[in-house]
Amino acid sequence: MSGYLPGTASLVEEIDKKLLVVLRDGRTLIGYLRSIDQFANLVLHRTIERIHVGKKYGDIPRGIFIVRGENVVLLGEVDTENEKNLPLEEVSIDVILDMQREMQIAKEQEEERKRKALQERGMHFTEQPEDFM
Amino acid sequence: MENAIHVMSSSGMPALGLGAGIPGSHDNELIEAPEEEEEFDVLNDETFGNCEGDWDEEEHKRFAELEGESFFDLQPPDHTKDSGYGNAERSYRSQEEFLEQSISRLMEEEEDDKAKFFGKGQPIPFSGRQQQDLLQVSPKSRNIWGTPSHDSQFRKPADALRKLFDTAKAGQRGAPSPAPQVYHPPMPTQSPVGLPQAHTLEEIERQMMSRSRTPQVITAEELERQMRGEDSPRGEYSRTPQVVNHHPQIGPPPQLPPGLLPASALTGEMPRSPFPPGMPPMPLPHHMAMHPPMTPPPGKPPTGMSPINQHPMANGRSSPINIKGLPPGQNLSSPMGRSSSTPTPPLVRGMPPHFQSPHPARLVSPYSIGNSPMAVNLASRMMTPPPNMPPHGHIPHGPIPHMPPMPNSPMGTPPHTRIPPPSNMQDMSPHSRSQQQHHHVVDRRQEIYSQHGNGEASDKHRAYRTNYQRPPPWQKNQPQRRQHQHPQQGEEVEDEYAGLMTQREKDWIIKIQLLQLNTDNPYLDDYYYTYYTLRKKQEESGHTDSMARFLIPNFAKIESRAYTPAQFEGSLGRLTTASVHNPRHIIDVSGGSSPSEDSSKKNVSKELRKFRQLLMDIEKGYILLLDVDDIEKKVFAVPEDSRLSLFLERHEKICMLYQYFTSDESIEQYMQILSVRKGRKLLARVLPLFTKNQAHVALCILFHHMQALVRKDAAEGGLVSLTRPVCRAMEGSDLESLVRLVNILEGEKPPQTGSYLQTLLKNQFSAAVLCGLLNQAEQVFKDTSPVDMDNQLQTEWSQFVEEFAEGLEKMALKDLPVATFLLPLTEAHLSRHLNAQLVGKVEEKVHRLTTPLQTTASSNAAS
Repeated sequence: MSGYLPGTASLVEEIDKKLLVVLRDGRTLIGYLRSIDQFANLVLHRTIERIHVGKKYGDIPRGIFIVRGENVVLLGEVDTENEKNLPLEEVSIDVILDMQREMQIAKEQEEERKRKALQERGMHFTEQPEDFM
Repeated sequence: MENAIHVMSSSGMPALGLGAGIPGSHDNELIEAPEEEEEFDVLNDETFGNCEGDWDEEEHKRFAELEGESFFDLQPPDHTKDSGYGNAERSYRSQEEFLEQSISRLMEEEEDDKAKFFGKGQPIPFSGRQQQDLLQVSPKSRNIWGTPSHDSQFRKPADALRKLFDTAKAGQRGAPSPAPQVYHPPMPTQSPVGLPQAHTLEEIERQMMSRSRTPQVITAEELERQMRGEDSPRGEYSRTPQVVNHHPQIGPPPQLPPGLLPASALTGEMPRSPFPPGMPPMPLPHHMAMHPPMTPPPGKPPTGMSPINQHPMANGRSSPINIKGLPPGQNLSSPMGRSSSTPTPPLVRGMPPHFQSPHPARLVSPYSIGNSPMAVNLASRMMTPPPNMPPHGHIPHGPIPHMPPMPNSPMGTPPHTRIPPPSNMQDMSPHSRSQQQHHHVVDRRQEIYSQHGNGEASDKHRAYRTNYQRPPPWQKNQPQRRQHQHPQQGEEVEDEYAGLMTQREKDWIIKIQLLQLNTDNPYLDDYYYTYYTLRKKQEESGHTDSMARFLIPNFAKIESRAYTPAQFEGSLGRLTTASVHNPRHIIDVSGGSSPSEDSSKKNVSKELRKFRQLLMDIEKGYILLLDVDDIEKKVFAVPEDSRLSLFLERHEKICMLYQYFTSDESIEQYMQILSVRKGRKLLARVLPLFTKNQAHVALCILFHHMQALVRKDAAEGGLVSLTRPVCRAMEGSDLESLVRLVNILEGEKPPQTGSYLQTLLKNQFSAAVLCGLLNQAEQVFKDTSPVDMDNQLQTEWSQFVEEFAEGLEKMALKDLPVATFLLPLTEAHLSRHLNAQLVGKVEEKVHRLTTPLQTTASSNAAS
């Protein structure tokens, strides 16, 4: 919108660009933004979901995504030239999913440990699930 | 009331008459068509036995619609009353009827019967004239028919169709076609040929596939060859229909049924179309069939594409993407168009887009979408899948069962992905779909006319053409997409998807966003940004310009707060009239009283409260002042005539301000107000706004309090901010006012002190005020001739001057405050009134009082 009104921004300029979108549930999508609407709902084309665990990542091709605007945390343009030069190592989908699962399990165990410790000290703490990260 | 009744009756009549509930103004024939169809059914049963018992009525109807009304309606259809929907339906039906007629025509033995059914006594309109009508009608009636060039060509599709039907009939069992896939039998039930029941294309394909493999293979190859632009099987194809004509079984040239397919596939729509490939594309495709296989003319697909792109025009609120039915029409057009254009440019002159029949789109083979290169191409061109396409199967592959399978990327084949967003056709019911198709087909066609082959389309076409052989490239090319040569095609693929969102859609979004930024008062809503831009502009345009101002736009969205929703008289109860902008008043949440702050230290809090109250009062004064300011800014935004109201408003506000300072209550508060810096500032800003009289009164009040003020101000010296405005206010006063002011000053003096002047002179403000008085007096004396001046006043004034000088004399120089601005005339005034001796004594002091240090120029000469 910078032409229409300086000092403003709009997703219109991001159309047909390769974007990286982070969703509220923690997922990372990379795709070409094909269309938007006034609620910032996105239509992503040739989308891949990229899962990061540590220094490794894995891509799951997903096709066309339509994302409801309220679920987007942030998005940014991908530098197509440099995206090959990531310091991260790509692994296969299965591997990364395994890694993710392991990480999840580890996290849960940690949480459980903390909860128990708190409980021993007499504190009961229930955390409302918010946006996952 | 009467009118309403009348209206109802008039509209009811046709409905009653029709019995078919068709809205809008339709021709009699069309209106009666359904009824006729029912009759047809009956006849069919009688004539042909029960095998056709399970005709799908709906499909027939659709078929009839496809016929187009051209045959029956020799006048341009009346568009004035319907939304185009009806027209589409009409043309649809007429096309079907046309188709029916043509087919029936071919069967000589039934011709008479047919005529009875079809034309209501009209001969089956298959003449050049009729074709002309077609031509005529099509632009307006959105008839997507192309011009049939020859009867013979027309026959071919029919023959082919019949062939297909035979095939289908042989193999099939009644499969009610689910909504979308209407494989329309070429004719209505009456057709003498054992028209197979309507089946989905899938079934037919399946049957054909099961029957023999070889022909299909050939087909695919043929298609491929044709895709590459060879002329190969065209001749074959052209021949085959005729061959088929006389061989009502499936057998005949094995090519035929499959042969049909390729031809139709080539032409784009044929096999796809639900109704016999020939049908709508009938004239054209056939024509195509005659000619060498077309490599899709470059222009066509793009045009096919572009309308869809353009189509999503949003009206105000709806999303531009939400366009139904568009694609199907689109679908139809492109392949058709393509095929038509190559062979018969003259025919398709204005028609290429016409050539889209809504139906073909419907007929999309669920599978084999990605398979044939042809299919791919066509499919991708076809923008959106005809409604009810199976998830991917938009592309009207038609009966191309064995195309070389396209590698399927996880992301789907390119054709799939190519389908542009507005592909919500899939969810529509058959009927609505067809109707919508028509509707949108019309729109599309219009679009095609207007936007013939824009750049996007050509890009797409390019990709279209080149992609059919390759696997979905985008995935592989992903990393290097933008940089390599190899993604020549990758780039094309990507470019092909670029521009899915048209400029119109983008503008629409931006419009919404800009709308949210609209403001009535930029100074209020976004103060800093407003000033920032103003300053920037000022810097750009040079510093000579005076500070530009954002005008407060006078968009009086006067929605009065006191809106009472409309009340209906004589209604039972209170009707709800809440709207988005005026919701129901459920809870009254008026500003409640602030909670009392009770604290143990009541005194402190009380004082605090008082102080706060004082501040609040001063704020009120400020609000008035700011309103005046705003009005001044608004004035420029408003044309001359309506400025008066603004001026009046301003005047009113100023009067209120005057009241603020001069009413009895406020006089009591006066000291307090002026003890606060903000209060002083307020007075300083307000004084210039007053009229002379108002200013005078204000000054009187001020002078009343002068002593007290001075005493209080001894420490701070904050009164200086008032100096300038007070002196300015005094300018223009006449002698009488001055005398009065002086009297006030005198009157207020506490009796014990010797001279009131002592204290006054000590304070900078008051000293300046006194000198200002003298200054003004000098001005008065200069301007008025002695004759006009009141003697008494003069005497009084002279007295004052003397007192002033004496008082000044008594004071030491060092005690006198330094002046802050120049009062040039004071000294001269003194000379006027005083004797030289006295003047000499005080001149230095006067000078000090009246001449700020900065100015080196001294106006006085030693007297």
